[in-house]
Amino acid sequence: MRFSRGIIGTVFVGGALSATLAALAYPGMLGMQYTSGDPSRVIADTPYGPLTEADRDFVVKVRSAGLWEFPSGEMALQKGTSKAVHTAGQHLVIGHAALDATCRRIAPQLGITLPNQPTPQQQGFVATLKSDSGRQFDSDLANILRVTHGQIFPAIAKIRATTKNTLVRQLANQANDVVLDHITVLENTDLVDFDQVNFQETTPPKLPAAQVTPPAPLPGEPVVALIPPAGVPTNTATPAPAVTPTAG
Amino acid sequence: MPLSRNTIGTVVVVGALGATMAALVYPAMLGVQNTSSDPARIIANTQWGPLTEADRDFVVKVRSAGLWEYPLGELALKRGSTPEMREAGKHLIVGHAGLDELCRKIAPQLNIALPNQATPQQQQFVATSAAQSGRQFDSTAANIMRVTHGQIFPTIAKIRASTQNTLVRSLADLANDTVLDHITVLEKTGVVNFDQVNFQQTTPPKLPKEQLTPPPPQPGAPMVALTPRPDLNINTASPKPTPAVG
Repeated sequence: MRFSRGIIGTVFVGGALSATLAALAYPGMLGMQYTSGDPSRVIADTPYGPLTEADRDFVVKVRSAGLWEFPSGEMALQKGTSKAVHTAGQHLVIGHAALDATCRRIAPQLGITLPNQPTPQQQGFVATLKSDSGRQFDSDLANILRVTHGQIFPAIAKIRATTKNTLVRQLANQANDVVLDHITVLENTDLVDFDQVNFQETTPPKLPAAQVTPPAPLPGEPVVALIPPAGVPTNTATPAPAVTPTAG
Repeated sequence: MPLSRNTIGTVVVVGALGATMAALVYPAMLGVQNTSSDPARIIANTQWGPLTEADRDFVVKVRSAGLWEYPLGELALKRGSTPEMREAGKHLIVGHAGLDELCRKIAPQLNIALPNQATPQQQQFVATSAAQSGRQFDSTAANIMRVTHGQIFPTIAKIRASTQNTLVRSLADLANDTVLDHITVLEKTGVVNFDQVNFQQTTPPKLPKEQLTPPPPQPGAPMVALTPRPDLNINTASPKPTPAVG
């Protein structure tokens, strides 16, 4: 034999010990976040309360969502084939314009830089919808947007329950209202495939960070503002309650 | 030596291999749930859509919350030392009466057994608050309820985003609006300690299951119903509409 039994035995034991140490360390390392990435880290003290990384990320997410869901709503108004899809388009346009107005108002007060474009993944959704037509467009609109709204809804609730910043609270209140309204009108199209939606909500594909981060705005670039087209009925923020309690 | 070096060496190697295997398997076993406890398991197919264990648990949680937050709201209305605290009491009473009405309407349709008492932990919340008075009562009651409402709010959102049952959806819609309203009025009292609240929301104490489960109702016992209070003249179901754009 080229290696003596002693050496083989030592390599074997050494290897087994290293494997044990790695396996023991692995669960401990799973949750580790660097200081710079920890969502609850306070990044600014504003007159409206502390601002955490999670708060900042939330404001940027709301802005980014509007930048792609508003044009999707406009497309629904133009090429949707059913009344329910047109209604969904109205709600999307009005709701996201209102949220965007709030984002643009509070971001400078909190020192947050808003993007002017949505994430590459979201731009991909818009491209898909642009190339669709007819029933295929209706179905893709309802399903893609139902998934994205369903993913953000619990995140909004978590931010609202934990943020100490009063401006972020206002945005979270409004977002909670608008997103629930959008979930409702998308479901009313009767085109949502719930098994598929639940699957995609709970197991989203692991995309690289660049795909799910909005590109930074160029210095000096004017801030994009979402303006609803003329003639669209404007009060869509409050969904009608399903049951009015008798005590009310 | 009683044990030869060979034997000791074998024991060390086998022990090390055993430890490696256990450590490798541990992270994978962490999430294992038996079929009977998996929240996504469908437990009934109703005419309003499938009902999962998570849906059933949600309806029971809403019922259980009303059974303690309604009486605590009544206490707040009677004993609150500031107008904001008494206003919070009114919202709690009206909001939970409304939620309870919807629970009692949909539970028989979905074949869900509703409890008549809150969990032992929740009953203790009421007892602790009731034993106090003045500013101390305000602070204890407002903080406890801000924590519990803050804990359930993301859960409601998750249920609403994933349930396929239309009755559970309507309960989640009403619960979303009501809980957000309650969070708002509790914060308006000015006595909520947010550092403490966030800590308790994210790291709740690990109590044994009996403390966190409402006792099953006695067979034949009449269903407890929270009394509606139209005299308080408050609507907590719809949030105020945000100003229209343009």
